This record gives sequence, structure tokens and C-alpha cells, in this order.
Amino acid sequence: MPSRKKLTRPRLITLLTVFLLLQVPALVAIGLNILTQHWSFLTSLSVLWKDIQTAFRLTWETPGELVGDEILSFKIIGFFVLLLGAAAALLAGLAFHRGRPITWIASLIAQIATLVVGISLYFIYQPDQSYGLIAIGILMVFYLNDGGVRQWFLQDWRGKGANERI
Amino acid sequence: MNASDQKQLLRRFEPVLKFTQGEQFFPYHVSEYVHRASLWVQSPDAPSREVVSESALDLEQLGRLQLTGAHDVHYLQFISPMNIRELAEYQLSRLRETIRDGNFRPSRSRLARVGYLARLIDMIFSIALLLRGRVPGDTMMAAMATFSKMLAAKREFQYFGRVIQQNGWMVLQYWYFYPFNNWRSGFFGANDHEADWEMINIYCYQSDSGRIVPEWVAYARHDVSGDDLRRHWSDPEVEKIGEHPVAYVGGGSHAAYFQPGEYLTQLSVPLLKPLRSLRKALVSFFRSVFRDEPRARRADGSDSSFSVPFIDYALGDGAAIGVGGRDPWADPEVIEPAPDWVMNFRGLWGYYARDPFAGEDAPAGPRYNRDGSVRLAWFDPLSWSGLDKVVPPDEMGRAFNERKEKLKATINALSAEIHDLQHDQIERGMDLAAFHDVPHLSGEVKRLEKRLAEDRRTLIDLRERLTLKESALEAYENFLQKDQAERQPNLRGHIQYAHQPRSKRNLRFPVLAEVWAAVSIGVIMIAVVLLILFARPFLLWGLGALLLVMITIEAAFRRRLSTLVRWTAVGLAAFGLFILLYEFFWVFILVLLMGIGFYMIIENLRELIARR
Repeated sequence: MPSRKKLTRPRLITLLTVFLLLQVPALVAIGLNILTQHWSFLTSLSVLWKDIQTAFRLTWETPGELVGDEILSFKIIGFFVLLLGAAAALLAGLAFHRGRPITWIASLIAQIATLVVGISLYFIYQPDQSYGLIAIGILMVFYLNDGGVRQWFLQDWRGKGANERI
Repeated sequence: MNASDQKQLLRRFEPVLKFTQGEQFFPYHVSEYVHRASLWVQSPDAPSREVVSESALDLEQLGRLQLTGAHDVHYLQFISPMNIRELAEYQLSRLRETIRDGNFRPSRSRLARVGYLARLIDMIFSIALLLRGRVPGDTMMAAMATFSKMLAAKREFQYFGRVIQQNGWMVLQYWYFYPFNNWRSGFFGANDHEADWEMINIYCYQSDSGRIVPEWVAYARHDVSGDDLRRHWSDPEVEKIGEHPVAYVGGGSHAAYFQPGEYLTQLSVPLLKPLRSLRKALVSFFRSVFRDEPRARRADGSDSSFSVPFIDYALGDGAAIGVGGRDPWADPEVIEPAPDWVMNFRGLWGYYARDPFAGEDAPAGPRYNRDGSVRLAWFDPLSWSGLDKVVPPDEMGRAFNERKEKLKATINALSAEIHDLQHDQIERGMDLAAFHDVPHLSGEVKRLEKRLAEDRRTLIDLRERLTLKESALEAYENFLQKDQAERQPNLRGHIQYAHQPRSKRNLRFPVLAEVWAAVSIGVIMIAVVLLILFARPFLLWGLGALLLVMITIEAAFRRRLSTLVRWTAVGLAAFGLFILLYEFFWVFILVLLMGIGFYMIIENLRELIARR
């Protein structure tokens, strides 16, 4: 049985794998920062846990209401969306080099999560981290859609006899 | 060619029409129709008035009518609305027929084949139909009842034909008159109207032995014209019974197709043209940015997002007229030269609904458009199907040789012109060399320099044309060296968009998908109202979430979730980029300038180092 000619793995794939894996802690950290409003969680886990508890309690007690200047329910949603993005980025990053289309989709889902939170933050109260999230999302979407990268994933997809769907 | 010869030729190749089950109207005698119709005139800002009453009109009289009034619309009216008793009687008889014979059943919902936007436009189109002029609902039923009576009295199916000689072709033109087009009310289509004129052309040539040989065939469908309508006689897509091509007639619309199937016909909405262009430009831009592979064009050349979808059911599972069918063709009527009723009556052949889009207005006769101008298919049947650029096969050798000789003559003329001009250039060059250092000839030097530059450009242009003509001649010589079979051009090369029947789309959970397609737009509207009523503070978020859910459901049914994910990410990234540009425009410019500066320094240093 003749073997299907495989494309050489583009160098960008390795780079994107690294980026995706780096994106995981970045998204978790920004998510926690959104929730706790400061970077104190970096100092100790007990502070982090206390901050999270406070945030959840306030949200529970006053859902959808303004507490101080913050919309707490939004912060919780943002935190979970970024957590979801981080999980998708982790899954994608671990298996990215294998060229399975599902990892490409997972990496795009991570970018959607990043961009949605970044853009929403911008419209709600424009914190600095929104620009960072947007910039990360744009760069990753741009590279993930690069012709060479898509070809790398498409070869596996087409190998299964399906039409181009990516 | 006299009428008898024309008739003989028309009969030899007369097409077989295969209809969809449930079709109620078939090609019929116009004389019977006209006899049952009344003639009306609609003047601007005045109610319609009857000019000739029912049963008082015949074809001869119709041909003699002097229609006056530049802004008046003259039209025949075949049907008067039924009273309640007639309607009930007819409905009962139809029910009995349906139980006995079965009826038309649409297959997959047309709405399941298109997206939300097309569904929304479709809904607006349906609502607009209530406001626009349209053929009254019970008219179709009355027409069916009347036509049933006509068929019971005289079950004969007739066509009208003409044979036209044009550019060496012999065009056999078959015209079919249907008393009613019930596409909308009978087959979920776009429109209803009284009277329907449809046409099929067969393009023949006379061989050296004097035999008439069919070469091309074109079937009319809706308002389409051009190459896409035409198929070669030997194209496998053209089904034939002996020498008779088979046409599959769309249920109610009577558009003709080469193959049985369900054809998605999309009416584009002119108002949405800017949106269509914007979407096309955006998709094209992102595809070029991401170096995507070019996508195959849609088979029908349409854009499903910004048009109203309709299905033409040309299934061929109903009645058939012609060779091998249940009913034969009656003696055809030759309309070349055109009889008076064809030539003189420029009015509409049925009810004038005053529809601004004209879809519900009856058509004019075979010779005329609704506005009274002559139909392209009538005065130039070759251009109508894009055959005006094709020579008949028997004339091909002569035509190619003529063209080759013409090319040779052009090459000779160009060579002579180049030779003379080149000679002049050399002489001017010599003059320039000799005059250069002569002070009192400095004016002449300037003139010579100017002329030399001008003629240089002319020479380049002439040599370019000569090279092109020589290549063309070479191609012709190679072509003429091939034998007859090899010379046959690609028989489908002229087709840009071959309108193919829609394959059953690869929908996930097809029954659910159809139900979803039918209710989705309504669900969206109800959800929006509920949001406004009960959750106004979260309206924006609610709408966003609603849109996301709807789009995801649709994409899941269509197996296009990955496409959705990709373009959602691209859209968000584009929007994010816009935000960053808005916020940091000058930072972007400065960073860009600095980047360019660094790049230039690096490139120049690399060159410097490489030189050493």
C-alpha cells in the first residue's frame, strides 16, 4: 500500500506549540488577576484563596450588581472563560506537533476565549491587561491561519477522505 | 423554407417533455385559451376596464387589435374568481384525485439548504408578497378547474415552432404555451401568473450530403440567457429518445432542465448588493492574507446568503408528452413567418397583477417581453444561447482556413511596416551620429532624438503584435494538422455555471435540521421579544448569546463547526486589531518606522559584511 506523502513540519508549528504552552499560565494568571483585582495571589496561595472566596461571595450576594466599580458576575464569567481557554491551549499545545485537526480547532478556541475576554474587558473598564489579551489573540490567530500551518493540519484531514472543512 | 418543410423538421426532433408529479398545466392550444379569456386595459390612475368580453375573442381578432395608449397595459384575463360553491366542488374533486393518484410532495425543505440570512430574506419576501400585487389565491384553483374542463373536452398538447437560418445554423425553435404558472401555490416557488411561454432551441446544420444534423440544444429557464443554457447534442447530460431530446420540466414554473432533480434557484435581492460585495471583499481579503487555497465556485454561480431560495422540482416522475410518453404531440403550429396574433399583440397573455417586481404579472407573447420590446430569443436565437461565436461544423474547415489566410496577410503587412520603420530608424541613427557635433544642426538633432524615441516605441509595439500573430498562426497550423476527431473542442468548455440538481446535503440529523430550518427565524424573533420584555438590562448580552447559540446549532447541523470556529476567531482578531489601532495608532506608526529602520540597518550591514 503506497504511503501518503507527508509534509515536512513547518518551523512555525514548533514555535506555535511553545506559544500555546506559554499561553496557559498567562491566561490563568490574567484570569486570576481579573478575579482578585491585584497580583497578590503571586505572593501566597492563602491570599489567592481568600481573594477568590471574597469574589465568589460578593457575586453570590449581589449578582449582576455593581460593587464599588466592579461588575462581579462579569469577572467570574471572564475568569472561567479564560480558564476554558487555558485548558484548550494546554490540550492543543501538548498534541499540536502531531497535526491532528482537533488540536488546531482547540487552539483556535483558546484564542476565541482570549479575544472575547480581552474585548469585553476593553468595553467594560479598559484595564491594561485587555490590550495584552487582544494582542496575544491577534498574533496567535494570524499564525494559526497561516497557509503552511493549515496545510499541516489539512493533510491529516484529507487523508481521512473528508473534504476541506478547516 | 415553407411551413410544411418547417413542420416536418420540427416534428423530427420535437423534444419530449417530462413533468413532475402534481403538475396541473401542460402545453396547450392558444386558440382555446384566448377563446375563454377576456381582454382588459389598465390605464394609469384608472381602474381596469374590459375591452372584449369572454368568449368573444379569437386569435384572428387578437392579431387585428390596434393597441393604443403609450402607458396603458393591455392584458388577457383567463380566469374569473370562483364562487364558494364552485370552489368547494373543485376542492372535493381535487381531494378525490389526490387520494387516487397521489400528489406532489416536496422533499427536503428549501430552507434547510440555506443559512439564516437567506431564511430571513425569504420571510421578508413572503411578507412583501402580501403587500405587492399578486395573483389572487383562488385564481390558481379556478385555472386548474377550467384547464381540467378544457382537457376533458380536447386532450391535445400542442407546441408552436419556427425554423430560422442564422450564421449557417438552422435553429429549430419550439414554443410551449401553458395556461398558468402555479410555481408558488403548487410547488412552494417564487411566483404565480396566468399564461406561461417557454422555449427550447435545437441548433442544426446541413452537412455536405444535405442531411440536417443537430449539434446543440438549449432549454429556457427563468430569465437566464447565454452559454450556460447550451449543451452539445452528444453531451451525456442531454438525454434523448431516438432523435428527440428529453426536457425535465420544473413543477409549476415550467423551466426546462437536462436532468431530473431538484434545482435550487435563487432570486437575488438588488438592495442587498452592497452587503454581498462587502462580504465577498472581506472573505477574499482574509483568504489572501492567510494564503488559502482558492475555493471552487458555486455550481450555480450564486451567493446563497443574500438571495431568496426556491426549488425547481424537475423530477420527471409525472406525465410525459412526446415520443415514449403517455400523450403524443398534436400537430404543431408553425409561427414563421409570425402570424398576426404573434406579431401584433404586444399585451400580456394573462392577468396583470401590478407587481412592481413583475414576477406575478403574466408574460407577453412568444415574440415580446413584458414591456413590448422583442425578445432576444426571438430575434437572435444564437446570441441567446451564446452560439453567435461558433461556426457550424461543416463550415469550420473553411472558416479556419479563411482566418489563417487573414492572419498571414496581417503578418505580412506588419513585417513590411516593421521593415520600413526599422530602415527609417537606422537612417535617423546615422543622421544623429553625423549631426551631433555640428552646432547649426542642433535643432535638427533635438527633432531627430524626439522622433527616434517615438518610433522606438512604435517599433516595439509592432514587433509585439507580430510575435502574437505569429504565435496565433502557429496555433492555427497545429490545429488544422489534427484530424477531425481531435479538432473537436471541449464540449463543455463554454459552460461557466452548469446548473446541477442539488445533491442531498450532508446534514447531520436531517429531519431535525429541516424542522430547525422551518422554525429558526420565528424562534429568534420570539426570543428577541422575550428578552426585551423580561431582561431588558441584559439585552445586548442576551442578543449576543442568542446569536451564538443559533449559529452554533446551525453549524452543527451542517457539519461546519470547524469553519465557524475559524471565522469567529478571525472576526474577533480583526475587531481586536481595530481596537488596538484605535487606542495605539501613533505607537503603531512609531513602532513600524523603528522596525523599518532596524530592518534597513541590518540589510545594509549584511551587504557590507558580505562584500568584505
